[in-house]
This record gives sequence, C-alpha cells and structure tokens, in this order.
Amino acid sequence: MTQRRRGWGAGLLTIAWIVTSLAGPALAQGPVKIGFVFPLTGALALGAVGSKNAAELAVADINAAGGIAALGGSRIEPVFGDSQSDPTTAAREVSNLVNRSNVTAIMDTFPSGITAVSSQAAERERVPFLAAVSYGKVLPERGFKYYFQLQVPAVVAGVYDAEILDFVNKACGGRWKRVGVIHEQTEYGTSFTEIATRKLQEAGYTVTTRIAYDAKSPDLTAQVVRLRESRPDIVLQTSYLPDSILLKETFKRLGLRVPVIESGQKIDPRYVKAVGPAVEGDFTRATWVDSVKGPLQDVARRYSQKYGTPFDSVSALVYQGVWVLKASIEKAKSTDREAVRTALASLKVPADDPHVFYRNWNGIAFDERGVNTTERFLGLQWQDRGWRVVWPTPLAETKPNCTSPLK
Amino acid sequence: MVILAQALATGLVFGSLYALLSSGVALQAGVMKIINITHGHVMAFAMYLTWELHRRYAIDPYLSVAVTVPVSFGLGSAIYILFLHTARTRDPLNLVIITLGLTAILESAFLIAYSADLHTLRVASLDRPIVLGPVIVSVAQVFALGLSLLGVAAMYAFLHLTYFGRAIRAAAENEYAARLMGVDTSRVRAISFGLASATAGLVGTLLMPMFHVTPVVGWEFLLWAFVAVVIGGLGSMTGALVGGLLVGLAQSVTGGFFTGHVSAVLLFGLMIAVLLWHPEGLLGERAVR
Repeated sequence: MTQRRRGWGAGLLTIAWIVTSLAGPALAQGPVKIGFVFPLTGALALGAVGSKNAAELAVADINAAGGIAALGGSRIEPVFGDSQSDPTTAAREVSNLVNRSNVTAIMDTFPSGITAVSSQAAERERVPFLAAVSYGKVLPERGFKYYFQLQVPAVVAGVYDAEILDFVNKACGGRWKRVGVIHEQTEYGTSFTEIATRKLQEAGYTVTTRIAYDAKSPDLTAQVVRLRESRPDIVLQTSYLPDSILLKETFKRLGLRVPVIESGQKIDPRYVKAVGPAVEGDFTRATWVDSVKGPLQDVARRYSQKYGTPFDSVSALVYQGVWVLKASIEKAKSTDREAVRTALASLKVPADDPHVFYRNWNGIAFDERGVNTTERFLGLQWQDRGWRVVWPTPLAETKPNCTSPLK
Repeated sequence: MVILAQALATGLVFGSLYALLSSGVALQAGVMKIINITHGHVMAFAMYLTWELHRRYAIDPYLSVAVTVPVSFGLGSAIYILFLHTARTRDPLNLVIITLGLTAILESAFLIAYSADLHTLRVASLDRPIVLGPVIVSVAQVFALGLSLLGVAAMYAFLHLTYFGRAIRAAAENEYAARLMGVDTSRVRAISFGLASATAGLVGTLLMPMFHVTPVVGWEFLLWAFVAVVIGGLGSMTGALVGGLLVGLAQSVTGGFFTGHVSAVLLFGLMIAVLLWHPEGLLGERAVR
C-alpha cells in the first residue's frame, strides 16, 4: 500500500513536471532573466564598471518602455555573474546562470581570452551567448551554434583603415600614392596591417615599406628613420597606446611630416594628454564618439548624469547588446533558449530602427559564424580641441584638414 | 647608410643607459653572488619620483638627480639591511626569491599610488632635435648618453681609486680574506647595494624625459641589463659596460633593418653561447674589477 502511494506520488510529480515544462515558456509572464558575466572583481574590474552600469541602464530603459511586448510586457531582470577576471570562473558562472537562475541568454564584455572560455560553457549549456565587446580573430571561427558577437573581428577592421586612408587621400587632392606601413609585431598589429596593406595595393597604392617593431622597445628611432627613408606620402600605423606616443614623438623629432592614419588607440584620452597640442591633425578610428548626432548621444548624456562617469565605447556596445537580446526575445516570442538562439541567428534589424543606436552601423544582423557584420567605423581627425568625424561622409562633421599634421 | 648611422647613434644612447643599469646588477652580483630582481623596480621608483618632483614643484629632471640618486641609494641599502642581511648565509636562491617578493610589493605599491596608467614627463627644450649630419638626436638623449657614461666612469673610479672601493672589490673577490684584513663586509654589502640602486635611480631619472613610466616598466629593463651582465661577465664592471652597449646597439641596429624579434634572437642566442662556452663572460673576469 505504501509502495503504491509512493508510486502515485512520483507519477503525479512527473506529470506536473512535464506539464509545467511544456507550458512554461508560453505562460511565462514573470520577468525574463538575462545573465551578464562581467569581470566585476579582479584585475579588469575597473574597466567592467562601465559595462555593468550600461547593462543596468539598458534594462531600465527597456522596462520603462514596456518590457518585452511579445510576452505581454514582461520585464527584463538582469542577473550578474562575476568572472573575477578569470576564464575558468567565467565558465562556471555561465553554468550557474543557466542551471540556478534559468537565464534566457547570456552576455559578456571583454577580454577575448575570457570570452573564448566562457562561450565554450555557453555552447555546452545550449544558451545564446552574445559577446558585446570581444572581437578576437579565432572566436567566431570555432563553429559554435550559440555564439554571437557584436563587433567584427580585428582582422576585418583593418579594411577600414585602408578605406579611411583612401578617403583622406582623395579628399586631399588624391596626390598621395606611396604608403609607409609601421605596426607593432604581435598578431594584433600584423593581422590589421596585412589586410589593410592588401586592400591598399589593390586600390593602386605603392607600399614603400612594412616595418614590424616590438611595442615594449624604449626607442623606435631606427624604425622611423627606415620609414622616413622609404619616402612615404602617407603612413598607416597600428600600435598600442605607449608606442603610439613614442612614435608620435619620434616622427616629430626626425621630421617625418606626412599624415598618419592610425587604427584606434589614439582615441584614448591619455594619448592626447601625453602628446599635447601636437595631436592636432592626427587621424584615428572608432566605433563611436560622443560628437556623432543620434540616439547614443542621448543615452550618453543620461548615463553620465546617472553614474557621473563618461559613457565610453565599451559601455556603448554593452548598451546596444542588451537591446539586441531584447529584439531576439521579441522575435522568438518566448524565453526558450533554443527559440531565442534561432531568433538571434536570423535577426535582421534595419539601420533606421530606433533601437539601432549606432547611426554608422548598417543595422544588426549576424552571419553564419555569429558575427554582426553590420558594424561600421568612423574615421576621426583631431581638429581644434576634439576628435571630429571626417568619414564616412553622411556622418562627417567636417572635412579632413590636409595640411601637415606636424608643423 | 642613413639608417645605420641613426641606429648607431640611438643605440649608443640606450646602450649607455643599459650599461649604467647593468653596472649596478654586476656590483650586486659581485658582492652578494645574486641577481637582485628589485633593481628594475628601483629604476621605476626613481622615474615616479622624477615625475612627481616635476609635476608638484616643477623641478628640472636633471636637477632632481640630487634627490632621486640619494633616495635610490637609501632604498637599496635599506633593502639589504632590512631583508637580505638576515638571510645572507642562506641559499642564494632564497635571497633571489626575497628580492622577487620585494619587487611584487613595489609593483603593487606603484599600482595603488599611480594605477596601471602610463605617465610621461616632457620638457620642450629637452625634446628639441639636434642635427648632426644624417643623424638626429634629442637634447634629452645627449644628456642621457653623457650622464650615464659619466655614471659608469664614476663607479669605476670609485671602485678602483678609493679605499672603500678597494674594500668592495676585496670582499667580492674573497670575503673571508677581506674580513681577516679588517674589512667590515656587512657594511660593504649595504653600501654596494646602495650604490647599485643609485645607478638604477640615475637611469630612471635620465629615462623619464624620453620614455614613460608604468608599474611594470622595470621588468623589460632588468631583463636586458641581466642579459648585458651575463654577456659581459657577471660581476665585471667593464663587462657590464661592454654588454650594455652591445645590447643597446644590437636592439637599435637590428630594429632599423629587421623586425623586433631579431634582436631578441641575437642577444639571447649570444647569452646562451656565452654561458655554454665562455661562462665567465666575454671579458672573462670573475669579480668586481
């Protein structure tokens, strides 16, 4: 008799479990949980504060605008996991967020080394994983089904350096045909310049020299003399922040007075602080700057008011990323992880959608590797106390200043 | 030709800085038979000090030598007296690990005080280029070359011409015999550590107007100073000079013609060759001479 009762009880429980799990997504009017695995403590914690703030602001904005309409206005509930700046911990947090908090999707921020490991855990747990900031070369090449990333890989970004150089040349009369290339010698500098160099050669430019240097070197004089002796009309440079400063000073000292197109490090305020007024006329590249008119400008203003810190490019990507996840849940009309993954893979948000915050992006859409190939960059020049957008033309604030950057 | 001339000129500048830094490593290696890992971070400490003195009190970097060199001397002596003296009879590996620990503490202190950010000190008059035919150097580089060679010469003269210098050399050659002759070897070691750290302090101050300081800047310089000392001969002053100049010139000249990897292959290759076939170094001396 006791055994029969036990058997009944177990049977009822099983039925109840089957019913609830089948009906779960359709009936869910509770909050939709999104997991965020950020390095909230440890070596990277300082940089991740902006990511957490941006995620919270995005969630608050979505909820204030009515939540997930397709799920009867369900609110989004953020669940934060701390990677402690460590890849193994990040992977464990991914599993915890899925198994304990039952999140619908997971987002991470940076660096690529942590993303590489935490996205493996996501693949195992079959949870959609959006890398908002990381863009390492190998990340999208692993054939993962649940992995998505908002930024194009570093190697592709080199194309934009070539495009910006070509644009600046044409805007300045098209007389610069000889390009000198100088880059730091790790995979970062090499992959950027490889693709940029190829593009430039295809476009008819002569690459006068290609110099790889050690970014830790205290002196780059010999390298810059070699660059100068190759007589370039314009220089393409890929460097980290410290060597950007060193190169700038060496160019100045050795009298290399040609425009330099640089791939994104000079946007760091520390560069401007270190080189002083000599920054005038420098070119660099960015995904976004706060002088670009559009919806991110308003987000940046509200963010700064709320948190008292500037809204940087990392925060901008995280903010956009949360809205991308929201759009995929709307499309899936469900919190089912498989359905959300399918929705993300086929997501096509047009560029004029009010929730595509980057006016320079061509909407949002992921390719078969999970890469958002719509990301576009801005070409910037320092003119009169600030970075000004000079490229692409529809977003340009001003024309490039073609006079020698090193007076 | 222009590239070679320029590479030789700047190679000489950085070579002389490596030589001065290496002379400190050689001195410590001579009297204590250990490599002091903290040496590079003492240099970083002097860089921060130079930067602070300029930022707060607008003190010219070359005048700040009057502060940074004695303070670095004090720091080096204190490291010896407080930590290494007690452990001096233990396994040399213990001593090296102590200096490694001190390095980690110093680095954390830099991080707490200045964050991981890089700091630069630039004076327009020192950035001015000086044109010597095909070669262009900055005023700061000329100062660095002159003062670091002067530093090496002063160290050499001190060790050879003064009573105390001779006591250091005697203690390095045979500590027991030196003690029998009435040399206070503990004092010798404390002062040697101070002197060696003073060279790191001078290098830091000379470097500041042309480079930048970060909490980890010391590692790279220590590595090359170490390579220079092994190539030149552990514990040899002239060896440190030759080794330092060789490192600076090799880095600059190879950098002018090849990628940055070439100088590392060349210098580490040479270091291994020296250790295999000429372990006492190219100059072949065994003690501080």
